[in-house]
Amino acid sequence: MDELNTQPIITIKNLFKSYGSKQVLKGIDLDINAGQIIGYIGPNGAGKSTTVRILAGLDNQFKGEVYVNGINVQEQPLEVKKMIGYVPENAELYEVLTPMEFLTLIGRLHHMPDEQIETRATQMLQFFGLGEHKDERIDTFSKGMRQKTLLISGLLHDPQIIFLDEPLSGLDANAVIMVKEIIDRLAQQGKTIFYCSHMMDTVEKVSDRIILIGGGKILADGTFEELKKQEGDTLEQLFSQLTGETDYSNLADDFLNTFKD
Amino acid sequence: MNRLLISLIKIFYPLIRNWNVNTDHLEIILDAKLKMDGRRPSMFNQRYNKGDAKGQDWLSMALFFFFGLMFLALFAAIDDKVSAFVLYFSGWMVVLAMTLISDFTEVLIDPRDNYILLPRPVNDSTITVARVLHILLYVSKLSFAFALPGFVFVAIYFGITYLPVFILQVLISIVLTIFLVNLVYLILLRVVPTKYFKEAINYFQIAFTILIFGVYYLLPRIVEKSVIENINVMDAPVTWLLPPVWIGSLWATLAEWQISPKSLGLSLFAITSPVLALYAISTYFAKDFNQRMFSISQGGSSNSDKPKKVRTNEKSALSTWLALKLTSNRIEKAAFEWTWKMMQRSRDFKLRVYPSIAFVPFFFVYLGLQGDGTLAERLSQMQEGNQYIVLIYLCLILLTNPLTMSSFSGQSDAAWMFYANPVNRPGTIMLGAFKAMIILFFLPAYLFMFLVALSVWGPQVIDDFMFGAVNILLIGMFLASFQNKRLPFSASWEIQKKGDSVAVGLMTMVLAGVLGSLHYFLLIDKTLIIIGLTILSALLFLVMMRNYRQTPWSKLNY
Repeated sequence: MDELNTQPIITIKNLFKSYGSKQVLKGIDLDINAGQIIGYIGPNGAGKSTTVRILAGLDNQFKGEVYVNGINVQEQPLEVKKMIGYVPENAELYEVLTPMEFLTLIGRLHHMPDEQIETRATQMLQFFGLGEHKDERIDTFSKGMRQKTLLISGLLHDPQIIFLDEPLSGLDANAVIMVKEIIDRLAQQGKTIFYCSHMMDTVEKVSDRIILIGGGKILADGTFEELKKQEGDTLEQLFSQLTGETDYSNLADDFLNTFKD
Repeated sequence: MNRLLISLIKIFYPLIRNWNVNTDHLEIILDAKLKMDGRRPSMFNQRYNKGDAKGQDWLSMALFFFFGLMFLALFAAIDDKVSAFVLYFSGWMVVLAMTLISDFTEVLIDPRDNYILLPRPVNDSTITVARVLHILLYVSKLSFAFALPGFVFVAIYFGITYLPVFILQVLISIVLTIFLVNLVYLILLRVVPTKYFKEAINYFQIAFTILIFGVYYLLPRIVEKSVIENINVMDAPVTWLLPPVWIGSLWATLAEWQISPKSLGLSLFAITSPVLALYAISTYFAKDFNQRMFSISQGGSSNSDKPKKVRTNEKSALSTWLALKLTSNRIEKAAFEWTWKMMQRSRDFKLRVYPSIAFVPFFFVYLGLQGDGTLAERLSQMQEGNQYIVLIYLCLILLTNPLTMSSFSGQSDAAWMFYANPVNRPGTIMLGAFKAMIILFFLPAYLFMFLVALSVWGPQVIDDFMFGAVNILLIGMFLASFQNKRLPFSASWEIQKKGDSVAVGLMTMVLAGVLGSLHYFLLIDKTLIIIGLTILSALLFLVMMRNYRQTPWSKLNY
């Protein structure tokens, strides 16, 4: 057994986080091994993005211990930021820049040499079909094109660990397939991918391990097969059983009754 | 007020219904649009907090009322009443046109109409009529506010019987202004690629801001009383081409009964031009106007017109070269180049900073031409003195204004990338940005002021401008390190508190005043040099001390 498998690349111990009086995370414990694709799912407001922000070193106001590649996030956020790639959900971009200019800025913040940024960014943009648009301003871009730019900005510096927060939002079917393929290949190279989403169907297809959170706690943890044995046939059923009201058909009836007046 | 306007329009419902307009829909749309007008921050009040921008329409109206009141001063200053009317309507038409272009364009090209209204069962003519009426109501609100003081003035000064002439004049000026605005739009649409339409409007806004305070500060200083008293606009035939002259001559003909071929001819223009203008707007302009406006509101993302590539060779090559020479590490270099591009391209930034470049010469002339005597006398007085010192220290604004404004952006949330990426010390980024501001704004403008001063006062200004430049940089650095603790373009405009910029402005003024007067006295008494240098050194010492206090662990020798 090599060392990577014995020592988890991400360790979360007893993580508590609250905004004011509102408690968002109520004791998360998690060990993640390198080279895995983790699907981190949960309903809206479950604390998915909060967890990712903490892991990415963006928020050190929390209780508990969080280690990324053996580094304490709370103490050395900068060291963590150096080795991770973070793709935030619906992030804003400085739209007056071109993708090339934006990626150059990001690359330089990671101390990449300019030539490397240039070739890598050009290739990545071309790969996503943005090659022709690399010198056009982002404010002329569609939602999907922006999302692609954002994705590239998270991968540009070849990070060991990648945090993706709803990375497929706004992408068309082809781009979705492409991103899934990329995620697979990155994992094969030994990179760890932490994939955050509420879109169950993609998560169940790409993830090696699925972690379902709700109400600030981990509700289920395992491979898709394991979880299937535990509860329903699809992730969606499991999701609703664990996190919500189960009787959606009654709810739908009630909704339709509002038209009867 | 909005309810009142809508019930006024209700009178015309029988007529409007003939045009296949659903008046119920019309009323709902207009009501919503007018409500939004009241909450839309205007050119005159850009700082607002979300949620409490209410009554903006009242604010605009108050402002126009004030304009109307101010312009009445023309009648007191000018003996020839027709000329006074010409100037009164010139001012009015310019203000209205600029307001329409800079403020209302956003409404005209509002893309939300396409998403919110078009998918609903509302027919096209209803939307078109709603749009036209919306503009009409907006203009009439402003016009009413503007004309009210004039209305009262005419009634009292000339007599109530003269009111119909005045009202006719106002109406003609409105129609002609709308026509001219249409013309401007049409020219812009033809000349400027659709994609850059908003950019062009941005420059209009900048020009408007400059014009407003140029008129406010300069006109009273430059124009001489003796000249203005005897002014007669109609004397020069060139002016006959200008619409306000037609409108003014209407007064000559209808109110003063000066019947001459000239006044009759010009009055005829005044009467016929609105009719022609209305015809032109409805036939020629309306044709592809909507179509083009629509494509602008789509953000130019249509395939038909390809977005222009950002020129990557020339301009950015300069900034790359400068960045290489002027910065000491890669992060700082990246920040320099990034800020450079952002400052050149961000519309909201340009709108707030570019006018300040014009402010410096305007305000200087305003200060310099104070006093009695003719313009020539005051000019020569100015040349003999040492007032260029004032000019030097006014230039401080060229550094502090971009410094303050560059913290803010309409896309402040995009600053996440500085937090998500490994940035050791934000100061590096702030310093890179600071350097970019010096090179892009301060130095060129300062150089320009220097050349002007050189041509007016001669070579004696050279050493003063050198000393001044260093002082200004020192004050700028001082302010930057004490006051402005934000990453560039990282805070939203909404959090820009009025108090914040007032404090910076005040501090700037005080520091500039102290250093400026010091500099001024240095010219008179050389012994003061010691005192001056003492103060400068003390300032420097303060900055250095602060720097020393912030020594990080990594800088210690073990």
